[in-house]
Amino acid sequence: MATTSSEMSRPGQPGVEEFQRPVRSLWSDAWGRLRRNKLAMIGLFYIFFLSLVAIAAPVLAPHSPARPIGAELRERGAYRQAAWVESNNEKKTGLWTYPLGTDSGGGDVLSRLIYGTRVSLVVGFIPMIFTLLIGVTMGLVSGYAGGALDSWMMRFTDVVFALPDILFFIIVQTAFGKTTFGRTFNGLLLIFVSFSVVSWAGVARLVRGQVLSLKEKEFVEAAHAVGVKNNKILTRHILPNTLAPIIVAAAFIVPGAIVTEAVLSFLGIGIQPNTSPTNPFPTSWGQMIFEGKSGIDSQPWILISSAIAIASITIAFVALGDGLRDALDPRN
Amino acid sequence: MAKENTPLLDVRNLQVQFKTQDGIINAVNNVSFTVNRGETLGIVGESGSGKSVTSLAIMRLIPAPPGKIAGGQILFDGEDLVDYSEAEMRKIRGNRISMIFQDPMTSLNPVLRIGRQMTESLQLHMNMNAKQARDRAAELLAMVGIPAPDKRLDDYPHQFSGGMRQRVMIAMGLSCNPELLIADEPTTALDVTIQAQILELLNRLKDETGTAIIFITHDLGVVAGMTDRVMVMYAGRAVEQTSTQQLYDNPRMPYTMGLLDSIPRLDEGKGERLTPIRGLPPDMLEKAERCPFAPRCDFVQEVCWTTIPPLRSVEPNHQAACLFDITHEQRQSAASKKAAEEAAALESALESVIAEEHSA
Amino acid sequence: MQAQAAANDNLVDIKDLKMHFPVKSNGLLRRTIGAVKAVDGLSFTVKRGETLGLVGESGCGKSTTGRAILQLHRPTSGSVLFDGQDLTKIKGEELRRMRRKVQIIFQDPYASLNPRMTVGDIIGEPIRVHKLRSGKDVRIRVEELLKVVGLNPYFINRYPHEFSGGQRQRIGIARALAVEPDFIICDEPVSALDVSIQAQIINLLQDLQNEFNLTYLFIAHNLSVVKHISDRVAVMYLGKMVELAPAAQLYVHPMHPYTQALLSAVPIPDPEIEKTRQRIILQGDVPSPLNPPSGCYFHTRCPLVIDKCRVEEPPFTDYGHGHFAACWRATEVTPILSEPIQQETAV
Repeated sequence: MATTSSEMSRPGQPGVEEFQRPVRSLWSDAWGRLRRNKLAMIGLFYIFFLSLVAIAAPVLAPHSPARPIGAELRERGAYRQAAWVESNNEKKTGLWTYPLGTDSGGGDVLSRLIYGTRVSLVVGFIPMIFTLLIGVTMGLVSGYAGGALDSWMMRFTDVVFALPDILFFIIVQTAFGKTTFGRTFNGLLLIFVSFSVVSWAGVARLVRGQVLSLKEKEFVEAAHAVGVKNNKILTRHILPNTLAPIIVAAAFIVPGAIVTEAVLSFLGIGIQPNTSPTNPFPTSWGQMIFEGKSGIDSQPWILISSAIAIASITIAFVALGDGLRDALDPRN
Repeated sequence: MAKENTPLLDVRNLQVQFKTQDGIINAVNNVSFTVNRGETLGIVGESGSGKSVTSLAIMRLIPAPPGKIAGGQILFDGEDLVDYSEAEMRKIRGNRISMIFQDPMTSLNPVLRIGRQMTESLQLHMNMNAKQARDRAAELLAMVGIPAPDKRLDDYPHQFSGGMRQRVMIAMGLSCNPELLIADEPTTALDVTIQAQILELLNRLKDETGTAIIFITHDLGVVAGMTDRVMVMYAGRAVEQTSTQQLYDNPRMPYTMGLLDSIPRLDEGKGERLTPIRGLPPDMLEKAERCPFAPRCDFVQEVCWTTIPPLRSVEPNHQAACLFDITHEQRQSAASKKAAEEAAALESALESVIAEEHSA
Repeated sequence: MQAQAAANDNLVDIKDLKMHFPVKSNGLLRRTIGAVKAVDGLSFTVKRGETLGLVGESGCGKSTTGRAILQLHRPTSGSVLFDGQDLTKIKGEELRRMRRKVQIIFQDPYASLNPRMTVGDIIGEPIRVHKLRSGKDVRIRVEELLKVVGLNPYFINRYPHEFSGGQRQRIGIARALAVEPDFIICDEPVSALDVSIQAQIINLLQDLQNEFNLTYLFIAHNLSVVKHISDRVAVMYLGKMVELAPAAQLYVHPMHPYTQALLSAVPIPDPEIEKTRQRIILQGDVPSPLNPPSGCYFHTRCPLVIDKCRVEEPPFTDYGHGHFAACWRATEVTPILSEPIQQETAV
């Protein structure tokens, strides 16, 4: 008969190695799975890179994003081609000082592109936070309370869900665009608010569904049975278990908001151009597409570069979102 | 077709592997067994023992990837199913070998009427026309004891209760007069009175049709009433194989003994204490060259940690994968001694709790 | 405690407990269009220190009964006297205090532990909620509890998914013990476990009962397990109790045809007995609790049915020696199982 001490060292026994194994929470497991997903990691690094670009825009941008005047404007020229393009007109021939050329007002396209990162990230993340705050609260309360309150809250959610969003944005922009509120942060605040107002409904439905199923789970019953108070059950037992789908939803809300801003700017009702050289949000990619469209024959790179920028950030977030879904919800 | 002297199914050294992100799992390891015509073989094991994977391998239904049949032969009527193409297998499945599962709801298509699902294989395998197939389907439903079979053919699966659905599955399983029926935990999801109905039905059909059955279950009570021979599996290996009567009278593998001692019996006397198997279920990723049961065995010796015990003959028609000749009586006394030690350990743990409570 | 026990040896006294779930129409108005009578008029007592087994098939209301006693579902009517106090009448802070005394162990060891909490937090939560210990002492107490249920205290920082089913069930038991309860409702505590692990948990539950003077309501569908662990056994069918008797008595001499059929349907792990056993195979399925049959609920499947059963519901009658049954022909039910065998090898 083997003694207890020698049994500990047997292969396959819950011996030393079992005790040395690091603690694995569900979060660390999910991170491990995400790290193995190449596409998602590329997306994550790209987003990280863009965040650095946004923060360091004044250092990185070769020129001021503001439109030049006087001698400077004459030097830059309007619609100067990208650096590698030769033109008969010396004023249009590309210069490496302005790698992607200039726009109709002589603005440096590359600098605008770099500053545009700021708007896209801000317009992606801030409405996402608002949307989650409203949606998660509504979903948690509605799902957990149940009964009549749940019924009425969900009918209201359905109404919001059914709003035609682009039409709603246009109405809001035309109604408030010219007011002080509408001008705050070059109109960004109005975009944040109007986007959050229509997009929380999806999150609320998602969270409510999660809460409804979690509330029937035995660990929640167990918490009731030991006398845990309702608010603690909600925050300690239910909310942490809804986070995984919320995170996935968040990763898909961001590109949605970015594209929405671009669409609105393209329609000419997005952020308002600001020519002050000290303004932190002077331009956006959506605006560049809007301008680039009319100048497509004279200077195609305004349109092409901003379109690539929007497409790539959207793809990065979608890749990350897909990766997060696979990592957080392993069914294999 | 009739090669009376060869067994109907002869599985030799079957190996099934699954690739997971943590490594390769040997779900079935070197398993060999035979099923004769008209015979019922029970495969008994706990979750993860490889009993269901074995049956899926016979049907060549191992999802690949991540799984694959890594070695061995599955000789059905003398032909090796491992070498069969998918098209050849389709002619075997549902026709000469059929299978019924634990949960009938997942194996029936919820959007198709029962009649449609039943006639499909009849038309495919038995060359029946629509009318013949429908008549045969009604006949089969009547055979498994479903009232008003003609009307029930037009119902959807959700309109049947759990027990009735399992009857439909059995009817479908038997529709092409298979030579071998694999029943994978067919009564586990059912209530005990419904289980009794289904077991009675299977026993009756077995006598009527002469089909050979592989009956897979974790329930030693069900095995006792259903099977002629039993194979016990543990951690992907066959650890004991003998006639049903022998297995209960004279188990020779400590794991089998432990299983028998773990179940409370309805006809036991009062106040008996169970003598369970200690420890945890096996870790399937474990690759050590040792007896898979060694960490939980009461009779473990040095040699058990270095050798995989082969399935050896311990008496006529009785093989067990244990290096020693251990009897059930020895196991019971050893296990109760162990249990007493554990109880003493618990006692001391409790004493410290109570002492602490007093001081608090 | 001793004096109190002598004064009243019924720890739990349940009278005419009903739990009806309204069935509502879809739509905004949500009119009530019917009721599922999950539990329909149960009266029974649980004696201090005993194990009362509660058996029945799925949908018979046995789990709902456990939850109604715990006030996890508020009963529609009836009373649940625990130690003289009616749990159905109290709420809020008072009810939360009573929760210290009554605990539950669940069936599914995977769903009953919060996957985002460590074992230490799961077992520590009840201790903190009821302020039984504070600061570092919580951790010390959790480690003790882990030892008591046979787990290594080293695992206190691990998460539930790192454990096997049996180990998780032990964690669930430790959580129930954390508040030092008097009464534990065991809701199918071993049905989801492998056979070899089931026996470990059954033995653990028995040891803990002896050590801490616990009273159990043991709910299960497995008659063999219930008979093994219980002092008395109650049988439920469609929300009603059909029979209640001391465990050995119920087995040797059932007085309800449903009990008799259940007993005969349980497979016995012995091929010789199985071959010769007499079986009563019930025909058909359990009727829907939404629309139960008239008279005796069991008459649609009963082998002994007479006309009276179809119209008049049999009362739950005392036949002496603590044997109750609800059947018009209770005295005509004959035992079909042989006397229990005494295993010579039993120690």
